[in-house]
Amino acid sequence: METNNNFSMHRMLLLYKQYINLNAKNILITVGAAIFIIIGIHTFFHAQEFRALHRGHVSKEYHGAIFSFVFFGTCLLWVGQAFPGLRSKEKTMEYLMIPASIPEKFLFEFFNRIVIFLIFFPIIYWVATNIVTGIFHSQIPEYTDYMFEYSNLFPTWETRFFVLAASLGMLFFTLPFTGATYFQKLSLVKTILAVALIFGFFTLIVYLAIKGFDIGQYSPKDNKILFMKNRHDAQLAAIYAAVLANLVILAIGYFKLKEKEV
Amino acid sequence: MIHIQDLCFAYPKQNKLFDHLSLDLKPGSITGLLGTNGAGKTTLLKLLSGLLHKKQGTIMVDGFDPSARKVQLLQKTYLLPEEYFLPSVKISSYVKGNHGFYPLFSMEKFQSVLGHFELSESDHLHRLSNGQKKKFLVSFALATNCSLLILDEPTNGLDIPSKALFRRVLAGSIGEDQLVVISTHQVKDVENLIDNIVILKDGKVAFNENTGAISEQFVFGSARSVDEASVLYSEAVPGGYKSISKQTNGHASDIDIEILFNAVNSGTKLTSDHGNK
Repeated sequence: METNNNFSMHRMLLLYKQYINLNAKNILITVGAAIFIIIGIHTFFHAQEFRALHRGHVSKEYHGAIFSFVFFGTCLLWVGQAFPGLRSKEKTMEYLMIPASIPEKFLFEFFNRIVIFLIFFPIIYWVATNIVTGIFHSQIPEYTDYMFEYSNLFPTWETRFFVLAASLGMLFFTLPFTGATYFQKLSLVKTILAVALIFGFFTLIVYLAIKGFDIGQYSPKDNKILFMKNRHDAQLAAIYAAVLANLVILAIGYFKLKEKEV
Repeated sequence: MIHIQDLCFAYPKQNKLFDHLSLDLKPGSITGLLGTNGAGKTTLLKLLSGLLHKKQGTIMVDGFDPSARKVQLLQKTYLLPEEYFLPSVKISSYVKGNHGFYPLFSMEKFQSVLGHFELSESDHLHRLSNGQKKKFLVSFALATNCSLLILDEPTNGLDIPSKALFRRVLAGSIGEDQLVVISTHQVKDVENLIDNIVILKDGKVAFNENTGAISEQFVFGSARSVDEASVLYSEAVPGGYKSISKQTNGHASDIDIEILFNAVNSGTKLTSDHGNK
């Protein structure tokens, strides 16, 4: 029997079958908890807004802030639990011995933790938010006829800025994802600490360079080495850097999984 | 099936565990991998499974380097570790979620072995005792029909009747194209089950021989006193001695695996080339 050692859709489906068979209860609890939390948060803010209505001031701007908070918070919790098969020595042995290739295991987790989240979270969020809005509207018709729509979230953002924000936002996915391949216990907490340390270190270096060595005053004669000449170039460079950072972080996660020993 | 040549391995910041270890094992046998605590039995099994990477030397399992973790090899290898993880689901859910990975998995065999161990598919894994969990995993391992079954201390946690049942079930479920490697430090548990004995000592294979050849070459006996000239190894036991002597009359003798193990561990040189057979 010829077996493709690197990728087989059949084995990907087997990984899914295994995941669902062994985690059905946890999946339902997680989705249920997410819906419950979204409904709870929106109920709280609608109640606040309703009180504001009596004061003659209604604000819907909080939707963007709540969405961002819930989106990234849930993302960290969900993606931080990637690679559950690596959370103990015993689990790791079982996980590594599953007859599926490393690319399949990695892609499965990537799909399950990131792609599935990006597809289903917005749907769940939209449904849960509009349930709350609908309930408030049905009880107090004069309160609001507002319906939550994604197109209303960040209406003033330019496309390039949106792409930059999305690329940087992807770091919220790729960092805990790769962190889950690195740390066995409390991987999310350790990842956050590690990222905070690295970020803090570079911030300190930049601060010292600018303030301590007055690098801001430096004006090179040959400005060809400065490829960013305006805001547009700077945004583009930041987008490339963010995309590259995501790819590098994912590659590190892949090789860490590949070389895992127990 | 298994070819190990000049294997060297050490854990970080520790002395060498294996120093140019060589070993060949062929399919169609149940090999007992014996050794004292810390001799490297579990490490060797992990190296064979690809869970650890060798530092030097060659390890080939069915023509594959296990550290590459190729699917073709993983489909033929089942490792039952000494310490394992089982999810909180029913046996039926576990099997439904995992059996598809093993192309030769036999549901019939699984149900039959599970029945022998008096377990049911509707049993919840988290409500089983440690011994029952081990029995379930042994059932699953045998049902995969993998050509290489690696069992690390499989009898730990089993009561005495269960150990006998384990030996019976295992002996009756293994095909001629399969190789079973059982690691244990409780040598009595695998007596009458294994047909090849490998003993690890000082980072090398100190003894590697099939049981047929052992019983043709040696006589394992008990006596009130020992004749020093013919005895290769002896140890005092209540009421006399247990000994290993060179076979002279051509009659095959029952193997006392415990005394054989003790003889090898004491450094007794039983034959000239057992180490790298």
